Amino acid sequence: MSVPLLSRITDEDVAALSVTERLSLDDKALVEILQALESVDVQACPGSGKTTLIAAKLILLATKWDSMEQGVCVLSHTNVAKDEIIKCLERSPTLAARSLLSYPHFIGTIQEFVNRYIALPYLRSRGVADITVENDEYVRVARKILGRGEFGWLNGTLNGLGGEDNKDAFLRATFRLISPDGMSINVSKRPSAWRTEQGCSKATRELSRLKGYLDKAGVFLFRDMYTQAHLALLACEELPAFLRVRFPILFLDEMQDTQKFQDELLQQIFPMNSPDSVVQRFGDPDQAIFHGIGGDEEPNVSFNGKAAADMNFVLHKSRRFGGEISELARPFSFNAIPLETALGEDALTERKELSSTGAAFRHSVIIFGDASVGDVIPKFSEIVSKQFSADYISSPDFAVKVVGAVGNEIDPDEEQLKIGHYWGGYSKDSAKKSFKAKTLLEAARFCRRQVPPDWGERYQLIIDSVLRLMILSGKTDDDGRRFSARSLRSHLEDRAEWSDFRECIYLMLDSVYEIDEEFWSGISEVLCKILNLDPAPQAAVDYLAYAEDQRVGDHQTEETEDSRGDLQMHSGNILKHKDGFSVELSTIHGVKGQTHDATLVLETRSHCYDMGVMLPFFVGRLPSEEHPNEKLPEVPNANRKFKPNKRFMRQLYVAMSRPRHLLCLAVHSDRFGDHEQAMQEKGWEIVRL
Amino acid sequence: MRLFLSSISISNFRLFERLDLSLSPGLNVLVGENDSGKTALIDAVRYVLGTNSNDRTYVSESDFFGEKIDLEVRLKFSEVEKHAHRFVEHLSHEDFLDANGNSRSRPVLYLRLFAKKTGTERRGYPYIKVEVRSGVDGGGPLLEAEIRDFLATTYLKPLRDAEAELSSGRASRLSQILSSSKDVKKDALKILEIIAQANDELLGEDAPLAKSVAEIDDRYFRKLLFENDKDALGVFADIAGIRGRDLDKLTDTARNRHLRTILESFSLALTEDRRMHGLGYHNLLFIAAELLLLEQDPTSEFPLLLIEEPEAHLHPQLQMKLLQFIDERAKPKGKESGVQCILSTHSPNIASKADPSQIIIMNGGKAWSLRPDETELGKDDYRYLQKFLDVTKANVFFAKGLLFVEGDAENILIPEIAALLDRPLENYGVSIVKYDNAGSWKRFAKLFLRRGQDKHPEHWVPVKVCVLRDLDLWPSCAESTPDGTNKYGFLQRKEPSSEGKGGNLRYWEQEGEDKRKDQIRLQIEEHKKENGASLERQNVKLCVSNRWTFEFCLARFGLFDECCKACNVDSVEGTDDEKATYIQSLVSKTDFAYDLARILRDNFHHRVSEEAKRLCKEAGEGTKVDLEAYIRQARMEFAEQLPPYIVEAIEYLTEPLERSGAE
Repeated sequence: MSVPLLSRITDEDVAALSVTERLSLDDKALVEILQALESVDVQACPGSGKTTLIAAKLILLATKWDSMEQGVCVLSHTNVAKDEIIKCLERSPTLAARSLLSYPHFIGTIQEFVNRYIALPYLRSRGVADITVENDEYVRVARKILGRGEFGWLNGTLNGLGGEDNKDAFLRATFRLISPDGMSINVSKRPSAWRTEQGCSKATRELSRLKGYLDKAGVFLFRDMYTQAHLALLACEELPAFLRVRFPILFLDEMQDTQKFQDELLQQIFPMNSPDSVVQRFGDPDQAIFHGIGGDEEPNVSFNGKAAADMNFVLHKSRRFGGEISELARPFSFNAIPLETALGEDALTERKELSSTGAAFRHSVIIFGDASVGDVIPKFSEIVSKQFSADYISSPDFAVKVVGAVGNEIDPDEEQLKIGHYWGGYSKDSAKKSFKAKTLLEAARFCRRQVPPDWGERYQLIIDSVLRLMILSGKTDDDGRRFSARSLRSHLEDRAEWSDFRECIYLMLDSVYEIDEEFWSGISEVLCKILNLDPAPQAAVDYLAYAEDQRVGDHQTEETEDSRGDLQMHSGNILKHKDGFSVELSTIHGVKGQTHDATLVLETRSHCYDMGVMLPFFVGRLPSEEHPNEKLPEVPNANRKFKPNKRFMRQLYVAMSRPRHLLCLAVHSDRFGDHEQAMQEKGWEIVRL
Repeated sequence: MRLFLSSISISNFRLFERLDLSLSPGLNVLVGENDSGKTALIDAVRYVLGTNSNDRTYVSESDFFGEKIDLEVRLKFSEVEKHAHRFVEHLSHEDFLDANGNSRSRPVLYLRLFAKKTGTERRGYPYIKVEVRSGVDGGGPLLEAEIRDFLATTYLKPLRDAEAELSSGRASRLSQILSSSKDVKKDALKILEIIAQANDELLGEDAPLAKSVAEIDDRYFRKLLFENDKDALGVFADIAGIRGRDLDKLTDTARNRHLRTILESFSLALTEDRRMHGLGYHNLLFIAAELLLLEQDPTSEFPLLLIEEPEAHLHPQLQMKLLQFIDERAKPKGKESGVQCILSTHSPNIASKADPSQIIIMNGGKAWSLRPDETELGKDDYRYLQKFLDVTKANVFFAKGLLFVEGDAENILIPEIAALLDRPLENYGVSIVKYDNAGSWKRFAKLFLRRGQDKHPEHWVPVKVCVLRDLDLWPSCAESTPDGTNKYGFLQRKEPSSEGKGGNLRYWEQEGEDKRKDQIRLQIEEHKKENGASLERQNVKLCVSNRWTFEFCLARFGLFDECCKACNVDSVEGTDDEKATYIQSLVSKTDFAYDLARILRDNFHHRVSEEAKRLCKEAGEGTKVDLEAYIRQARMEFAEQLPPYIVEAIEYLTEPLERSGAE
């Protein structure tokens, strides 16, 4: 299957594109990737401009696309990455770029692709008319069904898991699986009552009955869709061929995050080494970090298992940072790519002007003791405040983050070191990203509490909650899809309700009126009318309900209590420095794909202390002939004598490759030991608390 | 196999409350009386798929059945494999058993148009929400315009003004047809060059046209302009706005625009001198042009052709030629399947040319396809019907009731008899069709028997079908005996051979009243059967003559004198059977039926006019007399003179006769 283009992509085309899209194509590899029309794997280092490159390539294809019935398929792991690509296409001065946003093309997440093209058509054919694919909704409905008398026994055993959260987590993992002996349901954790043979067989029976009800109600987990897709492919063997004809070229972004089961399904449709399909995969195996929880998360092997030499292209030049950071981070590239800066002399000189002294930034290791762990972050903020020019610090998008691998407790029996030890107010759950209001009211209160008010973020959060309300009310856009912010807006604009809706949102977010029961019933009544929710299902009514604020009284103290040095805690794990900039606390996982101005990487402990264990890499003693990267154990293990491992390596690589300008580490003095000189030789400045 | 529309389900659309119909990949001919749903069915398809001509159609309030507020049209496409990539997200999977009996699944495409009256108004019109989605239950995504364009039908309107469609003008049909021609596209530049050159010559310096244009500009236009407009405006004249100097600089879009303008100035005429021709030939020419469009449009790999009443203005031979032409295109050629076509017609000529399996009978908002798996007809039955169902028999597809008869006598006499009984067949939409050989009645009966639907009256074809058959048992008095005991006997009794073969003993009525009655009863049952199973099912009725033949029965049951008269013979003495046998021996003359029909009519009228005279005399001159009761009485008496099976047949096809209450 060849890619239907009017003509092949010439050097002139690429040159013209680099002008209109303002690309710098100094690297020959970039030009070759833009021209490639065969399957390729591209390892793209942090800051290599991967998204821009993919978007540029898509624009090139769009201008030459020669088919009304075949399209380009662009898949990513997250919505964020998808939106970035869409934004690039929307902003492109090349008109044809927009054509990629609609039929016959597809840009979306792997999940959306699997749903839209394989699983949903299959489910619809089996008579499931009204289909909901959403984990939270699934858990809600499952709990409701579990509440019926007939499931008393099963519900009782699940209570034995210890707590509602654990029960939810259990339900969240009850997806169907195709196993060698037929279909089964995944069980993430066995309640004690299931341990006897009798209990187990009863539990299996009951669970499958529960799942049967959920199937009938059309409620599925995201992960179920892959199983349904698998069944669809088994039932209709021509399906992969249809998809290959429809999408003669497939782009996979963020390939390192693609999980094994996703990769396997995609390979079934778009095999890598087949003349029938062109698959171009972009990612960075060096940055492949997974949650590591929920046993299902298994990284793909076909890409992440590839050495740099087996990649068709390796983009090892970063536009994010200068030579010092690239050199400091380089030892942590698992594939040992020669990470270097792509920035020229001019750019580097320009960058120095952002520093308060006009000299290079000094990347520091903060050495702390048991007593001074709480001073690490204030110290870091002091370093930031000192090293950056006042002008730059006050610019609105100045981003400073503190990251650590471990946010939550790993195992209560173990010795702990997690982000919370550095800053007591850190809470993984109240992180902005993971904040999930249980009601619309909670969302409104959360937004109002936010200091300083970031209207963009408040608005986003409340819109997300309204979208959630639409899901609970069973409302879909004209396409039968769930509303997005965009489709909700155009839907309301069509019905001349948009300005009323905005007004309503504004009233919720702005503190002109206090939120009391009367105010809220007014708001929810107007919302119901605008969004045409009546009669709303119970779930939606619950979501709109009023309740007294549980946090009244305690949030006042919280703000003053949680402060140290020049920093003060605000909601959403954000610390405010007296100089006006904020410092955000996050897990390393949470900052994947981000770019900061300054990043502090905290030592944390998961079975062993990551910084301490990985110090040999910092000072150049590892990797060695005896211990090459590929022989490293996968995961940390406290009992092993040789403790460095792949997981720590990749986490640190991701963390250390975030900042543009300033990189700092925090290591306990016990673990740091006598590495001072060696670290200094590598260019680190040592700061002892 | 190529993608085709394999079934249609409709609810609450116009006169269809509920319709489920399977279609064939080739030609489908919709036949039926007016208001039976032919146009509605074609419109339903158009609403979902759209057409590739400029006739846009929207669901309106009058499209809803009765007071219903929502309607739906669901189309199913089969054999989608070759195009499945275009609509993978819309596919449905259908289970089937493969050759090895394993359950497998194959892709099909369901599209569902759903329309709902919202009760609100938009721009002064009731707002009807309409959407087309995929999925068995319409639960899939909305259908993209691109896919709809791909599936768009080619629609030929009925009674179209062919001449207007073929003439020049903006967006003319002809320009669309021509601009989709591959040859025209290939040579677009050449065409533009010719016109540009013509423009340059016509409007070059000193050309008369150029002078006139310049005069318009200088002498009048400029004088009327405001000063500051004079630089911007001027008068230009040319053909399609193309000049030689511009040609190279034209973008593709501009070039296409110019080409369209040129093509729009073309018109199609039958002969070069453009003399007026009849509507019929224009119509044919128009269809010819449409068919060209259909076959050359490269995107039209799914060419569903909808033709309404192509017979308009065409004389019968042309109608048949046209159908043959369309059928030719609808037939598969080697591995390539033909064009799928849904054609509606009132024309028996067209219906008779079609294969019966292609026929779909429409009636009162329901449809009955005569496809092989839906009727009880076998393969060879179709072959037979295709050959023998000529124009004279094609009205089987249009009638409300059908009487199949064995001979000319029934064909001539029964309409007359029915009229005298005040049940004129034409008033009930009943047609009489003569079947040619003894077995062919079965094929006609099976044409109207729905396979496996005996227990579901709602699925029966609502056409009353009655087959008349002769009993064919000979009374013993018909034997010609050497001793002449049977005066009127004329048939030989033949014993079987020594092996028990041959002979005609089974045709003779048995001796003894009871024995004979049983024999007749059994024979009647036997006459209704095929391979041991009765065909008198659903709306098919068999009326077997009470005795030997139609004519024998006429003479035997009360019209002996009239029969004698018709045979030009005097009455004879003998038993009733002997007398009827006498008539039977005479009727081979073809004039018998005509003469008897005339005699029956005359007798009846004579009787009535005599009575009228008598009544007038009684009542005195000038009084209006009420003959009604007498006529009713006369009809009743006449009915009693008729063989019972004839009365039964007429009552079945029309309505029950009045009976004299007392008797």
